[in-house]
Amino acid sequence: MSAAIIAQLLIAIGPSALELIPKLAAVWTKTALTPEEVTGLCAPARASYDQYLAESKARLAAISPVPA
Amino acid sequence: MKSSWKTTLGGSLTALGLALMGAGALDWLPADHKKIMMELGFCLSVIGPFFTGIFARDNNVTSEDAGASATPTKPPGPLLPMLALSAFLASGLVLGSGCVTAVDKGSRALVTTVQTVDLAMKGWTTFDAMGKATPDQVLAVRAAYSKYQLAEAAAEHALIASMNAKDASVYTTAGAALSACQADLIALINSFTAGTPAKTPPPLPPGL
Repeated sequence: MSAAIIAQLLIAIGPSALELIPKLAAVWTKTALTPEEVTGLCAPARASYDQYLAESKARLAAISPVPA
Repeated sequence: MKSSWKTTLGGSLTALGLALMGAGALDWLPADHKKIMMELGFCLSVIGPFFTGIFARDNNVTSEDAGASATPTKPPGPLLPMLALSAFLASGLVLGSGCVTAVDKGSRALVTTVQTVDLAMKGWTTFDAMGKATPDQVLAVRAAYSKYQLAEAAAEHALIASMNAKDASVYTTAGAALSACQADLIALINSFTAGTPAKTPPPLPPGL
């Protein structure tokens, strides 16, 4: 993972990329991924929109009152 | 568009860079040509978004401040994030360190796509949970995300099969499915910003 790629990622998705970069760096510095690792790392793609929404609402409720 | 030639040029440079990088991946090209095309393409794909970013107008600069035309225009499109993200993903496909096999390239690209979309969905659904998304926007993102999930599942299945079989020919299927996955991802990001001029999802709370 080069500095240029990190810069591109920051441009594309903003400061939130700072969370993503270490994850991707860990993937890219491995010599090879096993099928089990790929399955595990791709697990987020199986979450439904409603699951994401519920998690977001829970996070918001934890840090501030729920908007009306 | 014709009056926004600088941002148009930035987008065009990015698109050209991506095209060169894609062409540089063609197996039948001589090795020296592939290297030049990939290096030049990567440079353009980096320069293009920066060029666009330099000349694009910030959210806190009004049309009056910038001396823009009073003629109504369409909401700003998602060109920059779409191009920048696709540049990033394309870079991941060809430039990841230690990518020696086609299957290995595919696995890293797939994981990169999934992790990037995961973060984008966390940001979007936070925006939605705050009540700032319109019903039409939510429907569009739901539909795009469903398509992405189908494409991702197909790509993951094919990739795992190719890894287990250690058969590069199986990767052809994974590559095709991954292309569909990436196209759907771009459509997803496109729908994130469509119709939301001058507003972007808020910064994620700490810990996301």
